[in-house]
Amino acid sequence: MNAIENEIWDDATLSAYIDGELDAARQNAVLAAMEHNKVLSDRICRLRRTKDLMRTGYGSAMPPKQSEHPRHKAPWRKLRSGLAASLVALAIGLGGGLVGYVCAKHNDVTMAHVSDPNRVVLHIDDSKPEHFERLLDYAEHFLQENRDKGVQVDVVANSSGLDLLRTGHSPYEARVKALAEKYHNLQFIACMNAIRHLKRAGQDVNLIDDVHSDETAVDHIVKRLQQGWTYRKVGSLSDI
Amino acid sequence: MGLINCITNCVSMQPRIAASRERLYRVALAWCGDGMLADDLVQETLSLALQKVHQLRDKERLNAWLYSILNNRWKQYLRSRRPHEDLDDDRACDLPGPELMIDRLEIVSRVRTAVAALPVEQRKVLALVDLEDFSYNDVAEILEIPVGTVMSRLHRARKGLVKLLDTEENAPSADQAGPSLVRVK
Repeated sequence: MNAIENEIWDDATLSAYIDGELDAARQNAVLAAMEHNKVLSDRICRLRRTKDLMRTGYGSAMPPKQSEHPRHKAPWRKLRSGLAASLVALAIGLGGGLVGYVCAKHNDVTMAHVSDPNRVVLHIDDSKPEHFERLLDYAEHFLQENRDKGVQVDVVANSSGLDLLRTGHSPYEARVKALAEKYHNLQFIACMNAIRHLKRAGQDVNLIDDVHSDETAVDHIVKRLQQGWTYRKVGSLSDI
Repeated sequence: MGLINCITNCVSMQPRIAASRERLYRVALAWCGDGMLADDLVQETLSLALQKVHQLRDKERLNAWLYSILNNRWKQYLRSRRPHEDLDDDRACDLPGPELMIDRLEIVSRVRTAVAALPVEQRKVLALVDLEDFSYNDVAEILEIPVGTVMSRLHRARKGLVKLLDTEENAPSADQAGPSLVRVK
């Protein structure tokens, strides 16, 4: 009887039993068989014991501390660069509209575990004059009201929002210039890709003095998010 | 999905990925038997995971995805080794040092020695099922092998372990003993 049952219950099935991989009917059948078959019970116990021993053997294993691991070349720096690469790859992967596409639905990104309310990236990607005005009002108000808190503001413009920072196109050219001169903790960033696109289309792109243009908008926003800055799109500013 | 949403997801995954280090390490150690190599494999896995996290569509699959990266790194390591080296059993396990003298740690040492003696493909399945509680389907997906192969490697691994660990204790009786440990590649 037992010999027959042991033939039926092959080890693969018994392994599946201890791993909870059998359906209810087969599981019950194994349980029932175990009641009358000590050899079967012993086999299951032995298999189950290997599972317990595996956990004993490796459950307390801990990776070496970095200082104990001379072969490593700053592995956690690799992790950080990995994240940066992932985000850049993400940006490149999505391509095209870049940040213009970015915030169609998400006007406000604050990452609670890292975000710093005193460091804000303001983003604009359209050329509505009321948005220009709202953005500049917000930036100025924020800088004025929090002058003693070490605040920092980056205004990032891309797509048609670039017009805010273009001489001959911006209705607020003088104001942008004045703000940039007045606040050393405010900087304006024109998206390098947006400039390139305009130039390819045959347009001259002249930026207001002190506007930076050595990064793409997405690269800059990603960098700031990694550094713990809070992101706000112009559409969300009225909610403040 | 907006880019900022994607970015937020990527950033939010960072702590989860980094927090997987210890668990990945345990499995890597069971696979390769060498603490330093295991840590290298895990570091590479984490680094790669952070680079590729935007490709992970289903965040619930993060765990399985990480182990599948670890498996690829491990396979890559094995391929890069010198041709004359045996892929199965030449990894030195962590030898018991002076600190491994108390009973429990002696068991740890014996288990690791026994696991290191198993063929590498069996070790992989065994560690994923026993240490990480992955389902057979998950293991099949992670290692890119059929579920049937998972089952056969697993039961061979367990039989092998029983045999290796029982050598010093109770040798199995004839009717309990299974077939000899068979290496599957």
